[in-house]
Amino acid sequence: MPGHEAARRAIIPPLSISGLRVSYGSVTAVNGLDLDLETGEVFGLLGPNGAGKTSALSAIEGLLRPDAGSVTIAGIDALHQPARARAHIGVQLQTTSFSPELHLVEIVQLFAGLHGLRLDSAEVVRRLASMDLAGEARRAYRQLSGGQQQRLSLLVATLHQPALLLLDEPTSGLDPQARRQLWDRISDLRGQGGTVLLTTHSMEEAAAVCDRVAIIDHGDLLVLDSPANLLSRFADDPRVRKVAHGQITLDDVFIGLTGSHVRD
Amino acid sequence: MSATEVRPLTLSTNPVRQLRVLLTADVLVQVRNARVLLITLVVPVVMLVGIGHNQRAQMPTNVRLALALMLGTALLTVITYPSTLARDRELGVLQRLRVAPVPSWLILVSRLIIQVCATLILCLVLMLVGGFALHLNFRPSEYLWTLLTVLLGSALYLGAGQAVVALVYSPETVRATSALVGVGLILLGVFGHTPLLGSGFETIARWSPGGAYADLLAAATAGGAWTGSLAASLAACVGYTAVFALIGVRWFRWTRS
Repeated sequence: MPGHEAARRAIIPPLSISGLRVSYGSVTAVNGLDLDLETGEVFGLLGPNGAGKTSALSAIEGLLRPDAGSVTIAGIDALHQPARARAHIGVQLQTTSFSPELHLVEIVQLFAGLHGLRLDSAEVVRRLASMDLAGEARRAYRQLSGGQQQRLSLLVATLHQPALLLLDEPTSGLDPQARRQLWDRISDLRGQGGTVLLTTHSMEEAAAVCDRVAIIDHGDLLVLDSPANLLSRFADDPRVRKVAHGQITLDDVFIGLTGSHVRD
Repeated sequence: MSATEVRPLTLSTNPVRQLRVLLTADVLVQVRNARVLLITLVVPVVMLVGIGHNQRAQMPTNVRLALALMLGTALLTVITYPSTLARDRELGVLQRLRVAPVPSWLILVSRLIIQVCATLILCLVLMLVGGFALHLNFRPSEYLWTLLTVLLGSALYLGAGQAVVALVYSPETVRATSALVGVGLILLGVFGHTPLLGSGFETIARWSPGGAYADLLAAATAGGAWTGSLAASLAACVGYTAVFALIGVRWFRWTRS
Protein backbone atom coordinates (compact mmCIF):
# COMPACT_ATOMS: atom_id res chain seq x y z
CA MET A 1 0.00 0.00 0.00
CA PRO A 2 1.47 3.40 -0.90
CA GLY A 3 2.47 5.59 2.03
CA HIS A 4 -0.15 8.28 1.39
CA GLU A 5 -2.93 5.66 1.23
CA ALA A 6 -1.86 4.24 4.61
CA ALA A 7 -1.75 7.75 6.05
CA ARG A 8 -5.23 8.50 4.62
CA ARG A 9 -6.63 5.37 6.27
CA ALA A 10 -5.06 6.31 9.56
CA ILE A 11 -6.84 9.68 9.45
CA ILE A 12 -10.22 8.55 8.15
CA PRO A 13 -12.16 6.61 10.80
CA PRO A 14 -13.29 3.13 9.71
CA LEU A 15 -16.82 3.98 10.83
CA SER A 16 -18.54 7.23 11.61
CA ILE A 17 -22.24 7.36 12.46
CA SER A 18 -24.12 10.58 13.04
CA GLY A 19 -27.73 11.04 14.12
CA LEU A 20 -28.72 7.55 12.96
CA ARG A 21 -32.45 7.01 13.32
CA VAL A 22 -34.28 3.79 12.41
CA SER A 23 -37.96 3.17 13.04
CA TYR A 24 -40.52 0.51 12.19
CA GLY A 25 -43.85 2.28 11.97
CA SER A 26 -44.38 4.04 15.28
CA VAL A 27 -41.59 2.08 17.03
CA THR A 28 -38.21 3.79 17.14
CA ALA A 29 -35.43 1.18 17.09
CA VAL A 30 -32.45 3.54 16.90
CA ASN A 31 -32.83 7.10 18.10
CA GLY A 32 -30.14 9.47 16.89
CA LEU A 33 -27.09 7.26 17.41
CA ASP A 34 -23.64 8.90 17.13
CA LEU A 35 -20.53 6.71 17.02
CA ASP A 36 -16.96 7.09 15.82
CA LEU A 37 -14.72 4.03 15.74
CA GLU A 38 -10.97 4.31 15.81
CA THR A 39 -8.69 2.28 13.60
CA GLY A 40 -7.51 -0.89 15.34
CA GLU A 41 -10.10 -1.03 18.12
CA VAL A 42 -12.65 -3.67 19.05
CA PHE A 43 -15.90 -1.89 19.84
CA GLY A 44 -18.81 -3.59 21.58
CA LEU A 45 -22.40 -2.55 21.04
CA LEU A 46 -24.34 -3.86 24.01
CA GLY A 47 -28.01 -3.85 24.82
CA PRO A 48 -30.89 -6.08 25.83
CA ASN A 49 -33.18 -7.72 23.26
CA GLY A 50 -34.90 -5.09 21.15
CA ALA A 51 -32.46 -2.35 22.18
CA GLY A 52 -31.66 -1.51 18.55
CA LYS A 53 -28.29 -3.25 18.11
CA THR A 54 -29.20 -5.32 15.08
CA SER A 55 -31.13 -2.41 13.52
CA ALA A 56 -28.07 -0.17 13.89
CA LEU A 57 -25.86 -2.87 12.39
CA SER A 58 -28.31 -3.47 9.53
CA ALA A 59 -28.25 0.23 8.70
CA ILE A 60 -24.44 0.19 8.68
CA GLU A 61 -24.46 -2.88 6.42
CA GLY A 62 -26.92 -1.22 4.06
CA LEU A 63 -29.58 -3.87 4.67
CA LEU A 64 -32.10 -1.26 5.75
CA ARG A 65 -32.46 2.42 4.99
CA PRO A 66 -32.48 4.63 8.09
CA ASP A 67 -35.02 7.42 8.50
CA ALA A 68 -32.28 9.94 9.23
CA GLY A 69 -28.58 10.30 9.90
CA SER A 70 -25.39 9.41 8.11
CA VAL A 71 -23.14 6.36 7.99
CA THR A 72 -19.61 6.76 6.67
CA ILE A 73 -17.41 3.70 6.19
CA ALA A 74 -13.73 4.34 5.48
CA GLY A 75 -14.69 7.78 4.19
CA ILE A 76 -17.47 6.50 1.91
CA ASP A 77 -21.07 7.60 2.38
CA ALA A 78 -22.69 4.19 2.96
CA LEU A 79 -26.23 5.45 2.44
CA HIS A 80 -25.58 6.86 -1.01
CA GLN A 81 -22.94 4.39 -2.16
CA PRO A 82 -23.87 1.18 -0.33
CA ALA A 83 -22.13 -1.27 -2.67
CA ARG A 84 -18.89 0.75 -2.60
CA ALA A 85 -19.05 1.01 1.18
CA ARG A 86 -19.76 -2.73 1.54
CA ALA A 87 -16.50 -3.44 -0.26
CA HIS A 88 -14.77 -2.08 2.88
CA ILE A 89 -16.67 -4.10 5.46
CA GLY A 90 -16.65 -7.72 6.46
CA VAL A 91 -19.84 -9.02 7.99
CA GLN A 92 -20.83 -11.94 10.15
CA LEU A 93 -24.60 -11.78 10.58
CA GLN A 94 -26.52 -13.10 13.57
CA THR A 95 -28.68 -15.43 11.49
CA THR A 96 -26.63 -16.13 8.47
CA SER A 97 -25.92 -19.09 6.33
CA PHE A 98 -24.40 -20.20 3.09
CA SER A 99 -26.03 -22.48 0.53
CA PRO A 100 -26.12 -25.85 2.34
CA GLU A 101 -25.14 -27.75 -0.83
CA LEU A 102 -21.95 -25.79 -1.53
CA HIS A 103 -18.54 -27.05 -0.47
CA LEU A 104 -16.33 -24.81 1.65
CA VAL A 105 -13.90 -24.21 -1.22
CA GLU A 106 -16.80 -23.10 -3.42
CA ILE A 107 -18.19 -20.78 -0.76
CA VAL A 108 -14.82 -19.10 -0.28
CA GLN A 109 -14.36 -18.75 -4.05
CA LEU A 110 -17.87 -17.31 -4.41
CA PHE A 111 -17.34 -14.57 -1.84
CA ALA A 112 -13.78 -13.90 -2.97
CA GLY A 113 -15.17 -13.39 -6.48
CA LEU A 114 -17.89 -11.05 -5.24
CA HIS A 115 -15.18 -8.95 -3.60
CA GLY A 116 -13.05 -8.96 -6.74
CA LEU A 117 -10.42 -11.33 -5.35
CA ARG A 118 -9.00 -14.11 -7.50
CA LEU A 119 -8.04 -17.09 -5.35
CA ASP A 120 -6.93 -20.41 -6.80
CA SER A 121 -7.81 -23.66 -5.02
CA ALA A 122 -4.45 -23.91 -3.26
CA GLU A 123 -4.82 -20.40 -1.86
CA VAL A 124 -8.39 -21.16 -0.76
CA VAL A 125 -7.23 -24.27 1.08
CA ARG A 126 -4.41 -22.26 2.67
CA ARG A 127 -6.95 -19.74 3.94
CA LEU A 128 -9.23 -22.50 5.19
CA ALA A 129 -6.23 -23.99 6.99
CA SER A 130 -5.74 -20.66 8.80
CA MET A 131 -9.15 -21.32 10.39
CA ASP A 132 -8.48 -25.03 11.00
CA LEU A 133 -10.89 -25.92 8.22
CA ALA A 134 -8.52 -27.42 5.63
CA GLY A 135 -9.82 -30.91 6.39
CA GLU A 136 -13.35 -29.78 5.59
CA ALA A 137 -12.49 -28.05 2.30
CA ARG A 138 -14.49 -30.52 0.18
CA ARG A 139 -17.35 -30.97 2.60
CA ALA A 140 -20.75 -29.35 2.16
CA TYR A 141 -21.63 -26.43 4.43
CA ARG A 142 -24.57 -28.37 5.91
CA GLN A 143 -22.13 -31.00 7.23
CA LEU A 144 -20.24 -28.54 9.44
CA SER A 145 -20.65 -28.18 13.19
CA GLY A 146 -21.78 -24.85 14.66
CA GLY A 147 -18.21 -23.86 15.57
CA GLN A 148 -16.94 -24.73 12.09
CA GLN A 149 -19.74 -22.72 10.51
CA GLN A 150 -18.81 -19.70 12.64
CA ARG A 151 -15.13 -20.04 11.70
CA LEU A 152 -16.02 -20.23 8.01
CA SER A 153 -18.26 -17.20 8.39
CA LEU A 154 -15.40 -15.27 10.01
CA LEU A 155 -13.02 -16.36 7.26
CA VAL A 156 -15.44 -15.20 4.56
CA ALA A 157 -15.95 -11.91 6.39
CA THR A 158 -12.21 -11.23 6.47
CA LEU A 159 -11.18 -12.55 3.02
CA HIS A 160 -10.80 -9.07 1.58
CA GLN A 161 -9.10 -7.59 4.65
CA PRO A 162 -11.90 -5.14 5.38
CA ALA A 163 -11.42 -1.76 7.01
CA LEU A 164 -14.23 -2.67 9.38
CA LEU A 165 -15.41 -6.06 10.58
CA LEU A 166 -19.01 -6.26 11.83
CA LEU A 167 -19.88 -9.23 14.04
CA ASP A 168 -23.48 -9.64 15.16
CA GLU A 169 -23.51 -11.83 18.29
CA PRO A 170 -20.63 -13.92 16.92
CA THR A 171 -20.42 -16.38 19.80
CA SER A 172 -24.14 -16.99 20.18
CA GLY A 173 -24.72 -20.74 20.43
CA LEU A 174 -21.04 -21.68 20.62
CA ASP A 175 -19.55 -23.92 23.29
CA PRO A 176 -16.92 -22.38 25.63
CA GLN A 177 -13.99 -23.76 23.61
CA ALA A 178 -15.27 -22.38 20.33
CA ARG A 179 -16.15 -19.08 22.01
CA ARG A 180 -12.67 -18.72 23.47
CA GLN A 181 -11.14 -19.57 20.10
CA LEU A 182 -13.20 -16.86 18.43
CA TRP A 183 -12.14 -14.31 21.05
CA ASP A 184 -8.53 -15.20 20.31
CA ARG A 185 -9.12 -14.63 16.61
CA ILE A 186 -10.75 -11.25 17.28
CA SER A 187 -7.80 -10.29 19.47
CA ASP A 188 -5.44 -11.40 16.68
CA LEU A 189 -7.29 -9.17 14.24
CA ARG A 190 -6.97 -6.22 16.58
CA GLY A 191 -3.29 -6.98 17.05
CA GLN A 192 -2.89 -6.74 13.29
CA GLY A 193 -4.61 -3.35 13.08
CA GLY A 194 -8.12 -4.51 12.20
CA THR A 195 -11.19 -2.64 13.48
CA VAL A 196 -14.10 -4.67 14.81
CA LEU A 197 -17.63 -3.68 15.79
CA LEU A 198 -19.47 -6.47 17.55
CA THR A 199 -22.80 -6.82 19.25
CA THR A 200 -23.19 -9.18 22.15
CA HIS A 201 -25.35 -10.07 25.12
CA SER A 202 -22.34 -11.44 26.95
CA MET A 203 -20.66 -8.98 29.31
CA GLU A 204 -17.90 -11.55 29.76
CA GLU A 205 -17.27 -11.33 26.04
CA ALA A 206 -17.36 -7.54 26.07
CA ALA A 207 -14.89 -7.41 28.94
CA ALA A 208 -12.62 -9.99 27.30
CA VAL A 209 -12.27 -8.52 23.82
CA CYS A 210 -13.62 -4.96 23.63
CA ASP A 211 -11.53 -1.81 23.98
CA ARG A 212 -14.67 0.30 24.27
CA VAL A 213 -18.33 -0.53 24.67
CA ALA A 214 -21.54 1.39 24.13
CA ILE A 215 -24.68 0.35 25.98
CA ILE A 216 -27.88 1.19 24.14
CA ASP A 217 -31.49 0.67 25.13
CA HIS A 218 -34.74 1.58 23.40
CA GLY A 219 -32.60 2.99 20.62
CA ASP A 220 -30.81 5.49 22.87
CA LEU A 221 -27.10 5.49 23.65
CA LEU A 222 -26.87 5.26 27.45
CA VAL A 223 -23.13 5.19 27.96
CA LEU A 224 -19.89 4.78 26.02
CA ASP A 225 -16.54 3.94 27.61
CA SER A 226 -13.97 1.20 28.12
CA PRO A 227 -15.14 -1.78 30.21
CA ALA A 228 -12.68 -0.86 32.98
CA ASN A 229 -13.85 2.75 33.07
CA LEU A 230 -17.49 1.70 33.14
CA LEU A 231 -16.80 -0.41 36.24
CA SER A 232 -15.10 2.46 38.05
CA ARG A 233 -17.61 5.10 36.89
CA PHE A 234 -20.69 3.17 38.01
CA ALA A 235 -19.27 1.35 41.05
CA ASP A 236 -21.15 3.68 43.39
CA ASP A 237 -24.24 4.19 41.24
CA PRO A 238 -27.30 3.20 43.32
CA ARG A 239 -28.97 1.51 40.30
CA VAL A 240 -25.91 -0.70 39.90
CA ARG A 241 -25.39 -1.39 43.61
CA LYS A 242 -29.04 -2.43 43.87
CA VAL A 243 -28.60 -5.31 41.42
CA ALA A 244 -25.04 -6.30 42.37
CA HIS A 245 -24.24 -9.53 44.17
CA GLY A 246 -20.89 -8.82 45.82
CA GLN A 247 -18.17 -7.24 43.69
CA ILE A 248 -19.48 -5.01 40.87
CA THR A 249 -19.25 -6.62 37.43
CA LEU A 250 -19.99 -5.38 33.93
CA ASP A 251 -23.18 -7.45 34.10
CA ASP A 252 -24.28 -5.35 37.11
CA VAL A 253 -23.52 -2.10 35.29
CA PHE A 254 -25.47 -3.33 32.27
CA ILE A 255 -28.52 -4.45 34.29
CA GLY A 256 -28.37 -1.39 36.50
CA LEU A 257 -28.51 0.91 33.48
CA THR A 258 -31.01 -1.03 31.36
CA GLY A 259 -33.27 -2.42 34.10
CA SER A 260 -33.95 -5.89 35.47
CA HIS A 261 -37.14 -6.69 33.60
CA VAL A 262 -36.88 -9.45 31.00
CA ARG A 263 -37.12 -8.36 27.35
CA ASP A 264 -38.69 -10.40 24.58
CA MET B 1 -1.23 -13.39 8.76
CA SER B 2 1.27 -10.60 8.99
CA ALA B 3 0.44 -7.15 10.30
CA THR B 4 0.36 -5.65 6.83
CA GLU B 5 -2.17 -8.21 5.58
CA VAL B 6 -5.00 -6.72 7.61
CA ARG B 7 -4.82 -3.43 5.76
CA PRO B 8 -7.86 -3.16 3.51
CA LEU B 9 -7.39 -4.14 -0.10
CA THR B 10 -8.65 -1.84 -2.82
CA LEU B 11 -10.50 -4.26 -5.05
CA SER B 12 -12.53 -3.67 -8.17
CA THR B 13 -15.95 -5.28 -8.11
CA ASN B 14 -17.00 -5.92 -11.67
CA PRO B 15 -20.73 -6.85 -12.03
CA VAL B 16 -19.97 -9.17 -14.97
CA ARG B 17 -17.43 -11.11 -12.91
CA GLN B 18 -19.78 -11.07 -9.93
CA LEU B 19 -22.55 -12.50 -12.09
CA ARG B 20 -20.17 -15.21 -13.29
CA VAL B 21 -19.31 -16.36 -9.75
CA LEU B 22 -22.96 -16.21 -8.72
CA LEU B 23 -23.95 -18.30 -11.75
CA THR B 24 -21.23 -20.85 -10.95
CA ALA B 25 -22.50 -21.20 -7.39
CA ASP B 26 -26.14 -21.39 -8.48
CA VAL B 27 -25.35 -24.09 -11.07
CA LEU B 28 -23.57 -26.13 -8.39
CA VAL B 29 -26.56 -25.81 -6.05
CA GLN B 30 -28.88 -26.88 -8.88
CA VAL B 31 -26.72 -29.87 -9.82
CA ARG B 32 -26.34 -31.00 -6.20
CA ASN B 33 -30.13 -31.11 -5.84
CA ALA B 34 -30.05 -34.18 -8.06
CA ARG B 35 -33.40 -35.57 -6.97
CA VAL B 36 -35.27 -32.39 -7.88
CA LEU B 37 -33.34 -32.16 -11.15
CA LEU B 38 -34.18 -35.76 -12.01
CA ILE B 39 -37.88 -35.30 -11.32
CA THR B 40 -38.10 -32.12 -13.38
CA LEU B 41 -36.40 -33.91 -16.28
CA VAL B 42 -37.94 -37.36 -16.08
CA VAL B 43 -41.59 -36.49 -15.45
CA PRO B 44 -42.06 -34.44 -18.66
CA VAL B 45 -40.17 -37.07 -20.71
CA VAL B 46 -42.38 -39.83 -19.29
CA MET B 47 -45.41 -37.71 -20.06
CA LEU B 48 -44.22 -37.31 -23.64
CA VAL B 49 -43.32 -40.91 -24.46
CA GLY B 50 -45.08 -42.89 -21.76
CA ILE B 51 -48.69 -42.26 -22.79
CA GLY B 52 -50.40 -45.50 -23.89
CA HIS B 53 -51.04 -46.29 -27.54
CA ASN B 54 -54.79 -45.70 -27.28
CA GLN B 55 -54.30 -42.19 -25.88
CA ARG B 56 -51.54 -41.55 -28.40
CA ALA B 57 -53.99 -42.20 -31.18
CA GLN B 58 -56.42 -39.66 -29.73
CA MET B 59 -53.89 -36.94 -28.90
CA PRO B 60 -51.75 -35.37 -31.64
CA THR B 61 -48.04 -35.66 -30.94
CA ASN B 62 -47.48 -31.90 -31.01
CA VAL B 63 -50.15 -31.47 -28.31
CA ARG B 64 -48.41 -34.11 -26.18
CA LEU B 65 -45.13 -32.28 -26.65
CA ALA B 66 -46.79 -28.97 -25.74
CA LEU B 67 -48.22 -30.55 -22.58
CA ALA B 68 -44.83 -32.01 -21.63
CA LEU B 69 -43.22 -28.62 -22.20
CA MET B 70 -45.88 -26.91 -20.11
CA LEU B 71 -45.33 -29.38 -17.29
CA GLY B 72 -41.54 -29.04 -17.51
CA THR B 73 -41.75 -25.26 -17.49
CA ALA B 74 -44.02 -25.31 -14.44
CA LEU B 75 -41.80 -27.78 -12.55
CA LEU B 76 -38.60 -25.81 -13.15
CA THR B 77 -40.00 -22.35 -12.60
CA VAL B 78 -43.19 -21.79 -10.66
CA ILE B 79 -42.75 -24.89 -8.46
CA THR B 80 -38.99 -25.24 -7.85
CA TYR B 81 -37.76 -21.63 -7.99
CA PRO B 82 -39.93 -20.09 -5.23
CA SER B 83 -39.29 -23.02 -2.89
CA THR B 84 -35.52 -22.68 -3.20
CA LEU B 85 -35.67 -18.90 -2.85
CA ALA B 86 -37.93 -19.12 0.22
CA ARG B 87 -35.60 -21.70 1.81
CA ASP B 88 -32.55 -19.49 1.22
CA ARG B 89 -34.41 -16.47 2.58
CA GLU B 90 -35.31 -18.44 5.69
CA LEU B 91 -31.74 -19.68 6.21
CA GLY B 92 -30.21 -16.22 5.73
CA VAL B 93 -28.35 -17.18 2.54
CA LEU B 94 -29.74 -14.16 0.69
CA GLN B 95 -28.81 -11.73 3.47
CA ARG B 96 -25.26 -13.10 3.54
CA LEU B 97 -24.94 -12.42 -0.18
CA ARG B 98 -26.44 -8.95 0.17
CA VAL B 99 -23.77 -7.78 2.59
CA ALA B 100 -21.16 -8.45 -0.08
CA PRO B 101 -20.52 -5.54 -2.47
CA VAL B 102 -22.94 -6.93 -5.03
CA PRO B 103 -26.14 -5.25 -6.27
CA SER B 104 -29.10 -7.11 -4.77
CA TRP B 105 -30.81 -7.47 -8.14
CA LEU B 106 -27.81 -9.41 -9.46
CA ILE B 107 -28.42 -12.16 -6.87
CA LEU B 108 -31.93 -12.75 -8.23
CA VAL B 109 -30.90 -12.31 -11.88
CA SER B 110 -28.34 -15.10 -11.50
CA ARG B 111 -30.98 -17.47 -10.14
CA LEU B 112 -33.48 -16.52 -12.83
CA ILE B 113 -30.90 -17.08 -15.59
CA ILE B 114 -30.18 -20.59 -14.26
CA GLN B 115 -33.88 -21.48 -14.24
CA VAL B 116 -34.42 -20.10 -17.74
CA CYS B 117 -31.40 -22.01 -19.08
CA ALA B 118 -32.56 -25.22 -17.38
CA THR B 119 -36.01 -24.79 -18.98
CA LEU B 120 -34.47 -24.24 -22.42
CA ILE B 121 -32.29 -27.34 -22.01
CA LEU B 122 -35.35 -29.34 -20.99
CA CYS B 123 -37.15 -28.02 -24.07
CA LEU B 124 -34.33 -29.21 -26.34
CA VAL B 125 -34.24 -32.61 -24.61
CA LEU B 126 -38.00 -33.04 -25.06
CA MET B 127 -37.85 -32.04 -28.72
CA LEU B 128 -34.97 -34.45 -29.35
CA VAL B 129 -36.74 -37.24 -27.46
CA GLY B 130 -39.90 -36.46 -29.45
CA GLY B 131 -37.86 -36.72 -32.63
CA PHE B 132 -36.38 -40.11 -31.77
CA ALA B 133 -39.26 -41.75 -29.92
CA LEU B 134 -42.27 -40.25 -31.67
CA HIS B 135 -40.70 -39.53 -35.06
CA LEU B 136 -41.48 -35.83 -34.85
CA ASN B 137 -39.58 -33.85 -37.44
CA PHE B 138 -38.83 -30.26 -36.57
CA ARG B 139 -37.46 -27.72 -38.97
CA PRO B 140 -34.81 -25.37 -37.55
CA SER B 141 -37.39 -22.57 -37.54
CA GLU B 142 -39.70 -24.74 -35.40
CA TYR B 143 -36.88 -25.40 -32.95
CA LEU B 144 -36.33 -21.66 -32.78
CA TRP B 145 -40.04 -20.82 -32.35
CA THR B 146 -40.49 -23.44 -29.66
CA LEU B 147 -37.38 -22.29 -27.78
CA LEU B 148 -38.53 -18.66 -27.97
CA THR B 149 -41.99 -19.66 -26.75
CA VAL B 150 -40.48 -21.62 -23.84
CA LEU B 151 -38.27 -18.62 -23.08
CA LEU B 152 -41.39 -16.45 -22.83
CA GLY B 153 -43.21 -19.15 -20.84
CA SER B 154 -40.37 -19.49 -18.36
CA ALA B 155 -40.36 -15.70 -17.88
CA LEU B 156 -44.13 -15.83 -17.30
CA TYR B 157 -43.96 -18.74 -14.85
CA LEU B 158 -40.87 -17.37 -13.07
CA GLY B 159 -42.79 -14.12 -12.67
CA ALA B 160 -45.62 -16.09 -11.08
CA GLY B 161 -43.09 -17.88 -8.84
CA GLN B 162 -41.50 -14.58 -7.85
CA ALA B 163 -44.95 -13.20 -7.01
CA VAL B 164 -45.62 -16.24 -4.78
CA VAL B 165 -42.37 -15.83 -2.85
CA ALA B 166 -43.04 -12.09 -2.56
CA LEU B 167 -46.50 -12.50 -1.09
CA VAL B 168 -45.90 -15.58 1.08
CA TYR B 169 -43.09 -15.75 3.66
CA SER B 170 -43.04 -19.18 5.27
CA PRO B 171 -41.04 -21.70 3.17
CA GLU B 172 -43.60 -24.44 3.86
CA THR B 173 -46.46 -22.24 2.70
CA VAL B 174 -44.45 -21.08 -0.31
CA ARG B 175 -43.87 -24.74 -1.27
CA ALA B 176 -47.57 -25.56 -0.99
CA THR B 177 -48.72 -22.37 -2.73
CA SER B 178 -46.27 -22.71 -5.62
CA ALA B 179 -47.33 -26.33 -6.17
CA LEU B 180 -50.97 -25.24 -6.27
CA VAL B 181 -50.21 -22.36 -8.64
CA GLY B 182 -48.13 -24.67 -10.86
CA VAL B 183 -50.85 -27.32 -11.06
CA GLY B 184 -53.44 -24.58 -11.64
CA LEU B 185 -51.46 -23.13 -14.54
CA ILE B 186 -51.11 -26.57 -16.14
CA LEU B 187 -54.81 -27.36 -15.74
CA LEU B 188 -55.79 -23.97 -17.15
CA GLY B 189 -53.54 -24.71 -20.12
CA VAL B 190 -55.27 -28.06 -20.64
CA PHE B 191 -58.84 -26.81 -20.14
CA GLY B 192 -58.20 -23.80 -22.33
CA HIS B 193 -58.22 -26.21 -25.25
CA THR B 194 -61.14 -28.45 -24.37
CA PRO B 195 -64.87 -27.76 -23.84
CA LEU B 196 -64.92 -30.46 -21.13
CA LEU B 197 -66.00 -27.99 -18.41
CA GLY B 198 -68.19 -25.86 -20.67
CA SER B 199 -67.44 -23.17 -23.21
CA GLY B 200 -67.52 -20.36 -20.62
CA PHE B 201 -64.77 -21.98 -18.57
CA GLU B 202 -62.87 -22.80 -21.74
CA THR B 203 -62.84 -19.13 -22.72
CA ILE B 204 -61.66 -18.04 -19.27
CA ALA B 205 -59.00 -20.76 -19.21
CA ARG B 206 -57.96 -19.93 -22.77
CA TRP B 207 -57.04 -16.37 -21.74
CA SER B 208 -55.49 -17.30 -18.41
CA PRO B 209 -51.66 -17.32 -18.08
CA GLY B 210 -51.65 -21.11 -18.48
CA GLY B 211 -54.05 -21.05 -21.44
CA ALA B 212 -52.25 -18.29 -23.34
CA TYR B 213 -48.89 -20.06 -22.91
CA ALA B 214 -50.41 -23.41 -23.97
CA ASP B 215 -51.85 -21.75 -27.06
CA LEU B 216 -48.44 -20.43 -28.10
CA LEU B 217 -46.75 -23.76 -27.35
CA ALA B 218 -49.28 -25.77 -29.37
CA ALA B 219 -48.79 -23.44 -32.33
CA ALA B 220 -45.00 -23.48 -32.05
CA THR B 221 -44.74 -27.28 -31.86
CA ALA B 222 -47.21 -27.72 -34.74
CA GLY B 223 -45.33 -25.25 -36.93
CA GLY B 224 -48.57 -23.40 -37.68
CA ALA B 225 -48.89 -20.00 -39.31
CA TRP B 226 -48.95 -16.82 -37.26
CA THR B 227 -52.52 -15.65 -36.59
CA GLY B 228 -54.27 -12.78 -34.85
CA SER B 229 -55.32 -15.15 -32.07
CA LEU B 230 -51.66 -16.06 -31.43
CA ALA B 231 -50.74 -12.39 -31.34
CA ALA B 232 -53.40 -11.90 -28.67
CA SER B 233 -51.99 -14.88 -26.71
CA LEU B 234 -48.52 -13.38 -26.99
CA ALA B 235 -49.79 -10.02 -25.72
CA ALA B 236 -51.59 -11.78 -22.84
CA CYS B 237 -48.39 -13.65 -21.88
CA VAL B 238 -46.32 -10.46 -21.94
CA GLY B 239 -48.97 -8.63 -19.91
CA TYR B 240 -49.20 -11.37 -17.28
CA THR B 241 -45.39 -11.52 -17.06
CA ALA B 242 -45.22 -7.77 -16.45
CA VAL B 243 -47.92 -7.91 -13.74
CA PHE B 244 -46.35 -10.90 -11.97
CA ALA B 245 -42.88 -9.38 -12.15
CA LEU B 246 -44.20 -6.10 -10.74
CA ILE B 247 -45.79 -7.92 -7.79
CA GLY B 248 -42.69 -10.09 -7.37
CA VAL B 249 -40.33 -7.12 -7.23
CA ARG B 250 -42.57 -4.66 -5.37
CA TRP B 251 -43.44 -6.92 -2.45
CA PHE B 252 -40.39 -9.17 -2.29
CA ARG B 253 -38.65 -9.20 1.11
CA TRP B 254 -35.10 -10.43 1.58
CA THR B 255 -35.84 -11.65 5.09
CA ARG B 256 -38.85 -13.48 6.46
CA SER B 257 -39.42 -10.93 9.24
